[in-house]
Amino acid sequence: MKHMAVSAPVNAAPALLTIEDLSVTFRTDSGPLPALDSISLEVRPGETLAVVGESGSGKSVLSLAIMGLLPPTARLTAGRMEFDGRDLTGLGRAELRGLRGRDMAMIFQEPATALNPVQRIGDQLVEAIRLHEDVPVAKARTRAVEALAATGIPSPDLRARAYPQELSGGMRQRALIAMALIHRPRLLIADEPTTALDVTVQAQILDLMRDLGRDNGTATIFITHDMGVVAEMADRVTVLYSGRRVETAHADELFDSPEHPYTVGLLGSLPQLNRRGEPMLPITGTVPDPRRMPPGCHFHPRCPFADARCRSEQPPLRPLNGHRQSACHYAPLLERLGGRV
Amino acid sequence: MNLLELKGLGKDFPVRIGLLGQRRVLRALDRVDLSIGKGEIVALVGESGCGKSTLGHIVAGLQSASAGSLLVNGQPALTGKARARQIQIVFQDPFGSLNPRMSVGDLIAEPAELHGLVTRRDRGHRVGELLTLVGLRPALAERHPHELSGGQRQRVALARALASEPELIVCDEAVSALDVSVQAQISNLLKDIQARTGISLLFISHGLSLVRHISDRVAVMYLGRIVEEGPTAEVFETPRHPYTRALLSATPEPLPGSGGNRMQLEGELPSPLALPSGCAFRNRCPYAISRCAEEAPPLEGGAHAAACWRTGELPEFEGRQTAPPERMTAVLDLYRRAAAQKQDTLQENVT
Repeated sequence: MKHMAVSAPVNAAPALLTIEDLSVTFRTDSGPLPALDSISLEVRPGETLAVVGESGSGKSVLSLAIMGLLPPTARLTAGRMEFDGRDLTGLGRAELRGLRGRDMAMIFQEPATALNPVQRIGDQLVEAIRLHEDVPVAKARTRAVEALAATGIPSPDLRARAYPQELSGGMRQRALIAMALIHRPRLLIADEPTTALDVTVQAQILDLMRDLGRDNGTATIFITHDMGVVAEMADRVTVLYSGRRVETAHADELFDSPEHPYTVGLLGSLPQLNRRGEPMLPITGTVPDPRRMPPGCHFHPRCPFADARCRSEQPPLRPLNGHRQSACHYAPLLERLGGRV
Repeated sequence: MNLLELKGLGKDFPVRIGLLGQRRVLRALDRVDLSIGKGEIVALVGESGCGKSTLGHIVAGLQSASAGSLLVNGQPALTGKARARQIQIVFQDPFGSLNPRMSVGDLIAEPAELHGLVTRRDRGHRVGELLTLVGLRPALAERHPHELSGGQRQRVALARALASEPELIVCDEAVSALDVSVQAQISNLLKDIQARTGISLLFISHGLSLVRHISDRVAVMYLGRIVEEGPTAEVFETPRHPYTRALLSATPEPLPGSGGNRMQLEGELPSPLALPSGCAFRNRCPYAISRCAEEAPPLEGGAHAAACWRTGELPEFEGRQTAPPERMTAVLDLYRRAAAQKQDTLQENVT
């Protein structure tokens, strides 16, 4: 079983990636658009950190910021952003390119757009290998086929000669995973890697990713809005809401009892956690427009517990029991609100 | 009498493969029987390429069947505009199905006017009624699709479908692309509208979680055939086909320590152009025996039917779902009570 005792630290190794107070703002015609506000996180070797949030939460901006792939209209400020002791914000383009693909890799949601449609899968892998390593083509080709085989693709030598559109969605995603893992990266950022896939294929890919963490010691940041996938994959969880962290916890803690109303709402939106025949418990409305962020707690217009304090005072992220933190004035919810409702 | 009755429905697509352009036939649907009662919500589930969308399109009259019959209220289905009056369809991507140049009000009024269901004078009133029915403010009629969120657009697509006052709406992955909280909103809305208008729904989905919550009956498709069909609770609790079991077992559950221990399917979906002999699922099925290669099993078993030779011999199904932890249940109940108390203010803040 993956999950150990509730309070045991997941992993005592020093953090591979440390981010402190990362903020990202986009420059637009209608003024600055804040996307991330004071995000801090760390991930250790072999560990999976899930970053959870819906559209507009800033979760994809976070992954692009870590990879150094933000567009020029973005302005990034960070107290600290270190990968294996090296300051990422201070790196030049060439140094970043050296890290990217080799030490840190990324898997995107839609493999069709992340692969070159007019180049055979095998050639793309050979290119990726030779970008960072000086190996002969023939040797790189053998490794490419091995990498495809490792992801469970049937007849990998045949698939290496195929173009991306000749493969099914599940196989393309595996080819992309093979490419991301070809240099055994120490950090893998997976942005909704299974959202577009069928459940049986998703199950295969999740198993594959779990094995990689275990066998290679790869640290994974798993970006998703699927709480079921989080429960299966994550050691620790960070929940984002309109660019801010609202809750962080070990996975076992979070799925024992969420401590931010937004997390409760996300879980309440899942059919599995509702009684059959009763209406589900969705969060009303949608995420706020970042240009018109509500005052106080950003979640208050959608929160059933919100009161005057929530409308005026922004709650800081503060520690609770165990490894958890919540940015709600009224956490722990059961103790503080149980008598009121 | 059932509202919709499909008997032996088949759909073949002629395709050319290889360099020589060899003619082959892709059988997308193979002798499908399915019925939908008045006021019933029937779910059709299966993975990409199983034929579920083709079936939905045939029901909605967007494609024709190659074989079999389709009855609406006991009569052969009408075509064209008359069919659109009876049966409507809502797609996954409302952005692609709503004309960006038209206002929300025009989009919703158009089908009502086409079928002569509204006079010029009542038009504005009817649009307001339909918007209210799908949980939107009538003032939204002035807006255009690009000014709306994904969830709002899907509500508009639903209002537009309802404007024809159809007897059946086909929801083809209608909530799959939405955020989870919006999926729950729209699913609640679909159930609510069904209860208020008595309409029937064919809910097509590749995911199982929502289906369990929303549907009365469920049919599971694999490579063009229905492999299991029955009342939703029964199919989920005691699945009788190995493929249904694999689907259920592969669906991640939002519960602590839910990883591992699942029935893993080997291999990929076979090409529909090169189906295995006998049962199409046999090459991925852990229970397959030689008979499965010889003969395709018929869908049998009455109200809860399965197309599997070994259905009677399958081991007891161990569902992966356990009850959520006590504290989780308590927090969800607390949230539910608070949301019920503040329902009106919360709604006002958003739509």
